[in-house]
Amino acid sequence: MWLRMPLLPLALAFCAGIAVAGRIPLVSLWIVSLVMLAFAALTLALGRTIIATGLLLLAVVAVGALRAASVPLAADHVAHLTLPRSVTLIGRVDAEPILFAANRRRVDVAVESVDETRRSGRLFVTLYGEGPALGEGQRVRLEARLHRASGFRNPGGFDHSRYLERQGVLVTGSARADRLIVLDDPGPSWNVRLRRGAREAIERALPPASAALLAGLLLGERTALPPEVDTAFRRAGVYHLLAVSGFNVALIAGATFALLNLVRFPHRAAAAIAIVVVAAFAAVVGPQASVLRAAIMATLVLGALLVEREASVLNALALSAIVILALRPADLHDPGFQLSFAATIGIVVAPLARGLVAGAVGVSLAAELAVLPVTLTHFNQLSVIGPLANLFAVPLAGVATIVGLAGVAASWLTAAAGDVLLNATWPVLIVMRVLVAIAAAPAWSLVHLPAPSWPAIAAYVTALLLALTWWRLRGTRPRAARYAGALALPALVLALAIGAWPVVRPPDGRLRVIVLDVGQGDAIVIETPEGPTLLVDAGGGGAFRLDVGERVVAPMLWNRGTLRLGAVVTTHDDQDHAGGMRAVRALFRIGETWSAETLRAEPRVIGGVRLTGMGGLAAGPPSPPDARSSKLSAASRSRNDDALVLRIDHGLVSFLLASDITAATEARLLAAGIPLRATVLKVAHHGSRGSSTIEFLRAVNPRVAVISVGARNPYGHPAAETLARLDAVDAAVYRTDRDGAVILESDGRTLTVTAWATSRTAPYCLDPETVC
Amino acid sequence: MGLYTRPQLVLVLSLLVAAGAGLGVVHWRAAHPQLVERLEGLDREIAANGEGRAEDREVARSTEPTGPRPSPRGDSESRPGRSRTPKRQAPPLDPAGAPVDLNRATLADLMRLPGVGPVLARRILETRETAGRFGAVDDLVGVRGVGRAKLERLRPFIGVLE
Repeated sequence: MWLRMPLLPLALAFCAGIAVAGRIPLVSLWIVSLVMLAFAALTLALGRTIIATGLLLLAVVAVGALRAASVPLAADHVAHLTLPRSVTLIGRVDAEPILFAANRRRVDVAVESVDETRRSGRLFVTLYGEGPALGEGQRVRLEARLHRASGFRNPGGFDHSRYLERQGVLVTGSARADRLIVLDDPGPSWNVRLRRGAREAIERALPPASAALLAGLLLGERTALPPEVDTAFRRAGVYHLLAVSGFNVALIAGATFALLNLVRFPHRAAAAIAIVVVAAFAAVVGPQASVLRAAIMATLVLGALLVEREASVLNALALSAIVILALRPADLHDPGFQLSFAATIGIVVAPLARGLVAGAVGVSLAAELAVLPVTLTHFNQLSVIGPLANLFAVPLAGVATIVGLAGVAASWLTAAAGDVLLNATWPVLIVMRVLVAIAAAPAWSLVHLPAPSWPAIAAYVTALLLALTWWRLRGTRPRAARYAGALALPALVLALAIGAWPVVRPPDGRLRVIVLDVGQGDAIVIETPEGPTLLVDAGGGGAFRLDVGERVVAPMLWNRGTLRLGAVVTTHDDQDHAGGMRAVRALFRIGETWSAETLRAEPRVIGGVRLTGMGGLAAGPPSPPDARSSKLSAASRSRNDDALVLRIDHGLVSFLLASDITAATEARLLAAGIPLRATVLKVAHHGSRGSSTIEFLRAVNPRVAVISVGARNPYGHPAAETLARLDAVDAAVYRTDRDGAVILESDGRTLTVTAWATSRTAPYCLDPETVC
Repeated sequence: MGLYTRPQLVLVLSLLVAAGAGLGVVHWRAAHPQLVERLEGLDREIAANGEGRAEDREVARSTEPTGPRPSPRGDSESRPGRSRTPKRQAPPLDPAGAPVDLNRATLADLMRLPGVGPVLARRILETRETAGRFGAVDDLVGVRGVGRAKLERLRPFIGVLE
């Protein structure tokens, strides 16, 4: 069996090498590869092929790790600049810009010079506002503010800066689009022109939403897709249709081959032409891993037809993995790469059921089982309805793809003919959208779960392999098959147990208050000693910016095993506190929703902690009505003044979460004589100078002060004055822009503060009798 | 009966050796940019020195210095090469013209002198930087690579101005 796919062990060894890269020092890698190669040569000369095979596979691992090891940066690399700084930058646009919103684009720039000095490296620049049309290959000059690539740093969160680093991007920038000048424009290359032409033909013929869907099916372009359609395809588990993959390539290769056979072309010529068509299609739709994989495999299968030999699909898969990873080793960590290969392996090795419907269900199920660890790891998603939804979505997508491609090809000849064919896809697209929307509607169609740990994945894969072994061997070697089958079940149970542990583990009796790193905004998770998790604010959100609720708060909660929230509360309605709450409500089951008024009215005890609401209008004597009606007062009296201040008490430790209150509210709280003294203060309004008066800080007298603030925010938060005042009351200051998420953990007697970005932990003793 | 046959293993071995060597070079080059530049220009340097020696012999035979004639490799030299080694593109010096001030001369100035290639020119600059200004033309003998004969040949073209 192995002899038919000699590349499989090599591909696995190469993957293993890339996976361990960065954990093993370079020197030892060199030594290992040299020694292994030398001994392999020796044993080979002595004729010991089995030993030589082992040594060579080890050498492949070492070479894979060397390929993925980061090369020292060139002396003139942009990352050597002292950052942040504003510069004039000249570079070449390296890929088609990505449109985030109408006035926000991300451009991939290969740097030529910075401030008229030669520099090298690659940058992602976000362009704001209206500006010239941009495309791959243009040489541009722009005035950009450069900074180190960064992202939000939270436990169980997506590490954006590492993601960028793997792509070789260490510096990012922002610039105004209207100040950008296109220096020279060589004109798009043929593949870019074809892609743009296809998109234009589709957009001309169909209404916007259907056009966006067809562009996704044919070209993998999803940027114009309405958010609801996007979400529905994700929830229904058919999102893979919107990425160009083996499905499209197989359709194109098959259609070309069949068509040429029909007009009585010789087999070999038809195969050769199909290879050319597939290569051209891959060049047009772009260099994603799934496209490359499908194109390489199709070429090998068609090539086997050409030389009239039988192709081994797994061998072709292994070769495409080696080629892609040799070109771009960072792709191993890319979800697209992992999904594409996992799904293909699942479909290829799974036993085929007889009959059309059973076969389709089998393929769908096999792919779903294979990609499950990937979707859970990267997206926390388990699609329940996926296998069913794919049954109708895939054939519909197939029809739309074939007819749509024919339409695009026809539109090169005459626009009218193209329009007719593209319009023929419209009913198919509508039916597909309706069915996907129905499949996505039930709450149970998509389940969110914590990302599985490595042991869980290992146990799961073992269970699948054992089950497969049982199926394969049950006729020929029933004894071995029975053993495999008997072992598969415990392995599966083990995988489920390890995977479910974060969700079912009993509470540990410790209070954790986690001030999340959500940029400019607030989101605070409270894990109570007795179990229920509370959420105070959910960061920024909305349609035209990063939805912190969906992208930061939700994954963090899932990965900590929190699928249900005991209670949520929004301190006030500002975008940077309440924006993400919509997504959180949609994604979690929520016990109670507290309003500021109910919390102010009476304290609550939940999960072993006591919560007291204060602040706002009720905090003191109401201001005279005439003052409030005056224009000046109305302007200065923002929602911030009404923000809810939340006090949490647990044993000797207490937290005062001051939301966005201003000096006026602070004064009212002081005047009302409410007890304010607290161990930890969540500093008001991101450390703005208009809050945190020295009188208020003296009254709170915090040991630890946490400022939730965005790096490079345009408001100048936190203000130097505020930091000086915090220093005056001897508070240890933590800032989310520097420390990432701040985790405050307490058993009621001691307090431990962890800065997630630096993993520094500091203990604070609250009880003089406890040693800590 | 193993996973692979011997020819297959030999193929994998040679591919790995080539890949390993290539990766090694990539890492090494990124870590030592100066050395890479040196090595890139090595052949040109040797050629330039050889030319210098050849001129030495010719000049020794003639009674009057005529300055370097167009180099026999002139064409190949003027091609836009990848090397960052300075090229001999300046016109030859006229002995009647202003002498080259050893204390102000740039690398390019020095390389216009007969029998001075990039290596020697750099050495002269280094001597000036480390040991200080030249007090007189004769101090040039202290530079490794300049003997009495070479000094005499250079004398019409050089000077030490105040």
